[in-house]
Amino acid sequence: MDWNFLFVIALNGVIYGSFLLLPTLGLSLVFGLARIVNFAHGQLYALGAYLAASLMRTIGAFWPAVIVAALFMVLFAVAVERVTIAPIRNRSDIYTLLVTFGLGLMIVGGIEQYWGTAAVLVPTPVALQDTVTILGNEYPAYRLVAAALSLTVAAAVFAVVQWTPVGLRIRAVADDVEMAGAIGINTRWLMTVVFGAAAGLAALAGGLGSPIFTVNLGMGSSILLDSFLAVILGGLGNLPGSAIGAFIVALAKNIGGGYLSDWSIAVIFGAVGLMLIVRPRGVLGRGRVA
Amino acid sequence: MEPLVEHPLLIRDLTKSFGGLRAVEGVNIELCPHHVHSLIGPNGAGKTTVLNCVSGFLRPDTGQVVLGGSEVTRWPPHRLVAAGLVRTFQITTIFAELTVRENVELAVRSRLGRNLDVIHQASRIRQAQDEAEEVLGWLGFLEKASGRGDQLSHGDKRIVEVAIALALNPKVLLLDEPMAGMSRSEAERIAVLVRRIADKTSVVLVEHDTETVLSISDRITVLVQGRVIAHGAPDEISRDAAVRKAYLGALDVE
Amino acid sequence: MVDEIAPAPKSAALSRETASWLLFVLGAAALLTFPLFGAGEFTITLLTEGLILGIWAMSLDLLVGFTGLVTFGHAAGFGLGAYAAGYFAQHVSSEFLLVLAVSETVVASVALVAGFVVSRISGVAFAIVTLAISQVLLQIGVAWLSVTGGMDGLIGVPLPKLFGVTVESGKSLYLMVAVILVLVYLALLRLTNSPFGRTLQAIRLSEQRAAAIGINVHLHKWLVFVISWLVAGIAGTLLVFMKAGTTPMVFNWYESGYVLAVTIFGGLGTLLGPMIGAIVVTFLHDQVISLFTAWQFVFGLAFVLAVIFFPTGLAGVAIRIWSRWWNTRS
Repeated sequence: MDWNFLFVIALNGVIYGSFLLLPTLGLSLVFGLARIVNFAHGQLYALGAYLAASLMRTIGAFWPAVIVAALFMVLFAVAVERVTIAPIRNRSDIYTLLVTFGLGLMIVGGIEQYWGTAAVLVPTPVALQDTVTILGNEYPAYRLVAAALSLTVAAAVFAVVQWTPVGLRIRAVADDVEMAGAIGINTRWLMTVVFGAAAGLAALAGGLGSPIFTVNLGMGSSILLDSFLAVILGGLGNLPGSAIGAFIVALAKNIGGGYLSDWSIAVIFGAVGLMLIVRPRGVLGRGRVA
Repeated sequence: MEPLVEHPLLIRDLTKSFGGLRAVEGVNIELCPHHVHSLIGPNGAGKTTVLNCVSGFLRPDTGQVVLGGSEVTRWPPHRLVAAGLVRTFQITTIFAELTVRENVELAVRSRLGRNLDVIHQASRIRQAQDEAEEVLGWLGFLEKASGRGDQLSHGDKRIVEVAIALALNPKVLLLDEPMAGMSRSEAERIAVLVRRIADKTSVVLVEHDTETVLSISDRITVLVQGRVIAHGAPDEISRDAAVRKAYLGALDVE
Repeated sequence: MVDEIAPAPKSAALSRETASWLLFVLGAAALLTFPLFGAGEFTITLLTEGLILGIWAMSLDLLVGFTGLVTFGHAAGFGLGAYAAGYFAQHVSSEFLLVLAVSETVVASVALVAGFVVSRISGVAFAIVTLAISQVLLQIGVAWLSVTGGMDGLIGVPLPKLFGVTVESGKSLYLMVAVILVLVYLALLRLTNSPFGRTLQAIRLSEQRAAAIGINVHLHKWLVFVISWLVAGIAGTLLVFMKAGTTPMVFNWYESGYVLAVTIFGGLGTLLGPMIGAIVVTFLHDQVISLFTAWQFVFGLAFVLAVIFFPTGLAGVAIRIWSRWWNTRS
C-alpha cells in the first residue's frame, strides 16, 4: 500500500474540492433562490479563467488579473441575467434551463473564436513557485495557498448568507418567494445580485485555479458536471450540503481516478444517480426534492 | 343506525402525521349508499389530509380504507379510480390546454381502459365521445363544451372537474371543497348538483359553507384538529355543544 | 348540435386535415426522390445526416414535447444503438435487419432497467439523472477497451447489406434512411394520435390530475422512455453505418444538449417540427462552420433567441402561418 501515493492524491482531492466549492455554492445559491438550473455556470468559470490569463499577459501581474476578471464576470452575468433570463422568469423552469444552456454554448463558442482551441498555459505566480514538503512529499506551494484562499472566500459566502441582512433576505426568498415578496423584499433585484455573485465566485475559482488545472475548452463542461453532482449529493438548494458534496466529488474523482482510472467517473455518476432516487434530499437529508 | 348494508366506503382509525405534527388521528367515517356525507371543520382540521389518504395521494400511518367491502388502503390513485373511488381537487387542476370536451373524453377513455391503446385514433373513439356528451348534457354544460380549459371562469372549471369525475363512473365520489371561491348562486347550483349526483353514486363532501352543508347532507362528520368531535344527522350536529363551541354559533338553523 | 352553430371550423378542419395529408405525401415523395434531381454527393450525405438527426429528434420530442420529460441524456439510447449495431456489424454480420434487431434488443434491455428507475422522478432530478446515465455510458465506452475500442471507438464498420446486397454510401444509403424516416414518422404519428398518446399529453399537463383519472403515470413514463430510446437506437444504428464507426463522444452531454436544442428549435409536440428542424440545423451548421469556426456561438445565439421569442419553434411559426393562410381562405 503506497501511502505516499494515497496521500498525494487525497491532497489533490482536497485542493480540487476547495476550488470546486466556489462554483458549486454559486450554483446552489442560484437554484435555491431562483429555481434556475444554470447550465452556463461552467462556462462562466471557464471565461473567468481565460480572461484572467489574458489580463495577466497584458498587465503582467497575477492577483490583480484574477480579481479584475472575477469582477468583470459579475457585471457580465448581471447584464446577461437582465437581458435574457429576467424576461422569461414567468415561464416554466424548463425555459430558463434551456436559455442558460444556449448561453453556455454562446460563451464557449465565443471563447473558441477568440482564444482558439489550444490550451492556455498560465504560469504560477513567481512568489509561490516553490514546493513545500509535507509528510515527505514535495507539493507545490501555490496549490495550498490558492486552495486556502478559495476556502476563505467560501467561508465568507457562508458568513454572508448566515449572518448578514442580505443573507437573511436570500434565505427568506429561497424558503418562500411569494411570502418574501409580500413582506417587501425586492426579489427581482436579489436574484440578479445572487446570479452575478455566483458568476463572480465561479470566475474567481477559475482564475485562481488556472495555474493548476488545464485551461482549455473542455474545462467549463467538466466543472459544470462536477458541480451538478455536488449539488445533487448535497441536496438541491442546501448550502452546507453542497459544500460536502463538492468535497465528496473531488475526493472521489481523485482517489477513484488514482485507482480505478476511467471507470471511476462512471461509478460516481452511477452512485449519484442512485442517491437521487433513494435519498432525494441529499446526504444531509435537508435538500429540496427536485 | 342503518340496517345491515354494505358501506360503499369505510374509513377506520385513520392516522397521519407530518414530522411531529399529528394532522389526522383516529378518524372513522362510514359512508352509506347514496348519501351525501359531509366532512366539515375549521381550517387546518385535516379534512384534505383525510381525502388525500383515502384517494391514494398520501400514505396513512395507520388505519384502513375499505371500498365496497375490499380493503384498499395504500393503493395508488389510478388503481383506486379503476375500483370506483374518484376525487376532485380543492385547487382546480383540469387539463388547461384541452377543451372541456377533450377533458371529459380523456377521462372516459381512461375508464374504458384505453390508456395503453396505440392503435386507434383517440379522436375517433365513438364511445368516449358519446359518454362525454351524456355527462356534459346531464350537467347542462354542453354549450361551453368547446371552450379551452384555461379560458373558463373559476366556477365553470369546478363544474368541469365534476364532469371529469362523473365520467369515471364513481361508486364513491370525494368532493374537495367544490364550492370554494364561488358566488352564492354558483354555490347553490353546485349544491343542487351534489344532491343529484348522490342519486347516482355516494358522496363524501368536504366543504366550508356550513349552511349549505346542513341543508344537503344526510350525515355530517365534524373534524377539529385532526380528530372527530361529532358525527350524525344535520340536526343533531347543529345542536351538538362541542360543535357549537368549535364554530361559535355559525350553525344556527331556523 | 352546437357544432353547426359555431363558425365552420369543423368542416374547414376536415379538409384542412386532408390538405395536411396531401402536404405530407408530397413532402415524403420529394424526400424519397431527392437524389434523382441531380444534387451533389456532398449534399446527399449532409441530408442523410440531417434525416438521421431528425429521427433522433423525433424520439426526443416524444419524451419532451408530448410527455413533458426534459432530458439531458438522450445521447444514451442513440449512442447505445450505434455501438451495438457497429460492434455486431463488424464481428458478425452487416445484414441490416439483423443488425437492427440486435441493436434494438441491447437498447431495449438497458432502457427497461434505466426507465424503471427514472420513471419515478420528474423535473430537474429527471434531467440530471438521465444526464448521469449518459455520462456513465460514456465512461464505459472509454474504459471497456476490448469491446468499444476505448477513446478511439469503433472504426471501419462495414456498409449495411439488405438481403445480401450492399447498400452503397451516397444515394442508396440516403434512400434507406429516408424510407426508415418516413416509416418512423408514420408510426410515431399513429402513436401520438392514439389514446396512449393523449395519455402522455395528460401526464405532461398534470401528473397529479392524470393519476386522478386513473392513469398509471409511472407505467406510462416507463413505456415512453423505452420507446423513445428504441427510436433513438434506430437513428444510432443508421449513424454508425453512415459514419463507418463511432466514438465515446457520442454519449457526451453536449450531444444530448444539441439534439434537445434542435428538437425545441423545431417545435415541441409536433414531430414534424423537430424533423425539419434537424435538417435545417444540419445545413446551417455546414454553412456556418465555414465562416465561423466557433459555430456553437451562432447556434447558441439562435437557440437563445428561439427560446425567448419563438418558444413554439419553427413548427409553431409554420402552424401560425398555415392557420392564418387557411383562415383567410375560408
